[in-house]
Amino acid sequence: MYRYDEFDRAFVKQRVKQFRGQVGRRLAGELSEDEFKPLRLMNGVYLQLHAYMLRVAVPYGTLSSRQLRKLAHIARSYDRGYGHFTTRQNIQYNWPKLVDVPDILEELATVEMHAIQTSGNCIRNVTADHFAGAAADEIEDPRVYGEIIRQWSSLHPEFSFLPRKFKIAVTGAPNDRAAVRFHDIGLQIRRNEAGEVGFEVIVGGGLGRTPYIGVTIRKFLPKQHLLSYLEAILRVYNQLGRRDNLFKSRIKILVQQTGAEAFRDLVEDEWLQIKDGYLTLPTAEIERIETYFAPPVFETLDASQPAFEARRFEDRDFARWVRTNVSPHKAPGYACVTISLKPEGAPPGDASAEQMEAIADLAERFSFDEIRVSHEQNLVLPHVRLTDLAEVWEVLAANGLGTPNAGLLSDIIACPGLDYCNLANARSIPVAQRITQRFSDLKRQHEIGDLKIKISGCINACGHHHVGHIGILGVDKKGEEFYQITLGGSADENAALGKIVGPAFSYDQVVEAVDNIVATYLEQRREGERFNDTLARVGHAPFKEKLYAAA
Amino acid sequence: MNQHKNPKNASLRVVTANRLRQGDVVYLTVSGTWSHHLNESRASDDKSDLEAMLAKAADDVAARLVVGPYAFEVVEIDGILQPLSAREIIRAAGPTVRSDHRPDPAERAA
Repeated sequence: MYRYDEFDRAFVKQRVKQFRGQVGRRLAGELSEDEFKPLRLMNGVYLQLHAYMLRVAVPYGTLSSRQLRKLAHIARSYDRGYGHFTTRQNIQYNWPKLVDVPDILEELATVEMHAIQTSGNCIRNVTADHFAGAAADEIEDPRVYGEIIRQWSSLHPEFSFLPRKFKIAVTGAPNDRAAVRFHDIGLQIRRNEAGEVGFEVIVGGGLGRTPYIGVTIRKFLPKQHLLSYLEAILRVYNQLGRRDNLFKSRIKILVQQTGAEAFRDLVEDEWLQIKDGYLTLPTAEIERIETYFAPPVFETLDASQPAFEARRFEDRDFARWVRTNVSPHKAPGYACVTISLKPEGAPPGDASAEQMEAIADLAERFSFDEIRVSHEQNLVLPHVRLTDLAEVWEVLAANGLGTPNAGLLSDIIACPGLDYCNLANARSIPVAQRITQRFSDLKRQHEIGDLKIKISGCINACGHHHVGHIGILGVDKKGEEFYQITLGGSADENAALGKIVGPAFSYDQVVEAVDNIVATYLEQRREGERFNDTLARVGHAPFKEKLYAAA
Repeated sequence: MNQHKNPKNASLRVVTANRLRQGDVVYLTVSGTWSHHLNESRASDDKSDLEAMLAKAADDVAARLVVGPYAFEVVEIDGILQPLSAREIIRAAGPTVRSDHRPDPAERAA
């Protein structure tokens, strides 16, 4: 994985020192809250409903065991013993004291971590496929380009005060696990007809109050032009993006209002000015960054491992976990393991310090020291030998991490909602908890199959409700929590936005409503159909009928 | 969340903020100090009272004790103050999702 050079190290250290000074000046009265707020946000510190919140960057979702142990240590020493993994592959601490934050940042710096680019109107921490460098379906490792983009974008002087925040995601596989069509810029690594590898460039996707599926403005961008092309897009946005209206300030609004083709022309015009200039990526530099992400030395193994197959045959619980939480690896005899942070009744994405340490130990022993954070709020051991899976599963299960539900109904994305967030209108986490309790029968969940439920506590859509097969949006009706349900969304390569099914449900009714939707799906589905297939065939009518029959 | 509507004292208000150094939730008391407990707060339906409370809060912002003060509505039921909105109920009681991590005022008073 990427290791800091002298420049990175000095830069992060300097930033810690700078923030320590800023906190000191705030406490001494030399800075007002209005002056201090943008400075603390540049270092990932928010003031939430109950306390400060610190968001720590996990660039492209990759962690070493040492880093995860440090995150556990911070949870235990400075917070309340847990951390919360987010849909942007970051970790958030919900209870740090402001006076402790400089010390926390200093501890993070010792393991090459920080909170830079986790807030503010800058290019945020780049996200990537959580199976990067491991997935069987991958063309190239997207983290190489995530890191190149990080080096270009960190404190980029021209793009430090954009109209609004700016999120970039990169995937190297045709099966999109990074939701590239729902980012300000999505980069999909593609191979052209000549066999060269480059990027499909997707712009103007996003969720929030006005959700849009991103549009492709370039089908194939040769690698060496990555940064000049990104710079051209950012330049057009920085000049023309709206600064007068917060709700219209994201690039998706600019792309829609300008028209995708006109927007592309603006970008291409700008690009012609700077193309082949100093931003052209030298092959040697790409290769240098590639060495940081060189795959570990995998043993030469058979794709089929009798011991593993036997265990799977004999042990139904193990087999069930393998079916949902183990994914194909590019190296024969290896697999990617998804560690569910969604046990029944627990807040999605939370992990205790002890769980983080247990996972760090497993990664060290069985996964070449690597852990990933997924945007679906789970953790991943990317490189596990098939023959080690049973032991890994046993340790996970002993630590409350063995729930066999990746991709199933209870693998819910939920934003922090009104339990923690200052912007929320309604709670999200307890709705997720109650749904997982209602569907506590895992056998039934496996029969239901792949089903994505996503819950947001307000229109900002941090819980990605627009792209849930079943999306749930919390709204405030005269101080009471209500939930609007959308059906048919999808964040993967079949990108789609869900449509509202009908009037909202109360906090007490919403779990029953989900149950009714699932029941309707099971009644209607034909062999092999996923939720969105059935919905596309039968439409909203049977769902509405069941949901609002009594009304 | 159950909502309690009581038109008689619907305009009863208390002042809240977060402590600057720690970030925890506090309420302005009768004696002008800040408490972790909503039920130790000063509640008033009098406009000039409320102005005085917010002025005191502004002084304490300037003195770097608290940050982001504001007033919100409560109702008094059987001598117990309860917020009207789901947001303030949760803010007063802590997250509803992890009983093992509810705020511990004694621990945080330090």
